[in-house]
Amino acid sequence: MVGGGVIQQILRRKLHSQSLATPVLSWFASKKVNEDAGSSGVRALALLGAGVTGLFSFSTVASADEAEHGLACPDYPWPHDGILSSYDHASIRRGHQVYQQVCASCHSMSLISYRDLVGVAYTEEEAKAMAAEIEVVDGPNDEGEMFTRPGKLSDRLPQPYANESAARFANGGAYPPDLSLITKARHNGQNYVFALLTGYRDPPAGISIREGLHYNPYFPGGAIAMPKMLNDEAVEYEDGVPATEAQMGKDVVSFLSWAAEPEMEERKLMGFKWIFLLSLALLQAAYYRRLKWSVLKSRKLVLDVVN
Amino acid sequence: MADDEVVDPKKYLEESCNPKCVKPLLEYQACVKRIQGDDSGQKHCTGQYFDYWQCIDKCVSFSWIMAFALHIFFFFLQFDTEMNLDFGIFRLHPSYLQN
Repeated sequence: MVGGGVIQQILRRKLHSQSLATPVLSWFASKKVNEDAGSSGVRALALLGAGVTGLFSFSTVASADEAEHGLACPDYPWPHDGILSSYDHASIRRGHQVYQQVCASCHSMSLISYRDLVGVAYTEEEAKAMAAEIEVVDGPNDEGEMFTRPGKLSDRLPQPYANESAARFANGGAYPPDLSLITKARHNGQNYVFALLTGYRDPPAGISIREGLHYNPYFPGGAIAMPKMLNDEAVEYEDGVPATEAQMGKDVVSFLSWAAEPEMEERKLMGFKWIFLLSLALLQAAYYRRLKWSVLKSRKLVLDVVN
Repeated sequence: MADDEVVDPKKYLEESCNPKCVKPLLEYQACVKRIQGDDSGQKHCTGQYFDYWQCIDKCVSFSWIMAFALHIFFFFLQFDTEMNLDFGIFRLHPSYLQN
């Protein structure tokens, strides 16, 4: 009872300073004075007070989660955003070049085949030539042995490591994730990957990263195993576009977006077409329904008064 | 290539956005000063650091959106002057052009 009164007093002071519903509080206070058995009102008020103090303390805890969630990445204006926008296919081609020369040494893309690139970023001859550069284990042959052969269009993009354990062993325990679906596998994936790749910065004062890790504010926790890979002029583009860090980031994210969602262009066309047609169908259906129901909706009932 | 030295557009935009984000930068620097004497290793300035970089990021993405929008606008402006659509029944062309 005493505790309830103390909480009530604290709450009165808090609410008073915030100029909230003090009449409500005085009503509660009068209720307590009037009936001693009305402890349910005080209990409700105590719960409210506890909830409010809990809310205040939560705000200080939330700031410690900042580094845990990573810095929020901004929204960049991707050329393939927009209801009828296609991919920038020249960007996909450059992005594949960046992936091949910079990322493929550690990251696999085991869901993409060389034939997927035909008509998107390369011609069939170019894709065949690219596939032929890699060695693929095939077999068994007639003698029962596995053999290696040059790659074909139907082969998947080569994997840098035989399995996850080998990948972890070569990278200090960290597994470079497969990039086939990465822009769908991370929240706000396209913007996140671009921000991550171009966002390597010095850590804030007071934060020290252990040897072997690198600071990246966008990475949850802040300490990422991957070093900064995109540096100016790291790649020489075939089409002569200057390979700045931001350009390479943009191109590689375009490539990764396509890899994760190759059906995007067809999906947008289909969506636009069908949403338009179904809207017309909706109008027609609405009209037809109202037409059929008009008989009932416009009927009149006459009450016969019996004298 | 015309210019040998490539300027990374993102870094350029980040530097040009610096004046817009002076306040969070000063807050961060004040925090750095505050924790300078600390040896416990528990104090850090992640909050102010995040506030500053969030401000910069917002400004950079906005600049990029503006640049992108202007690029699209000028692209269509140039396109408009050459576009003369003739449907046979009526002609649709920019009326300010005297053919």
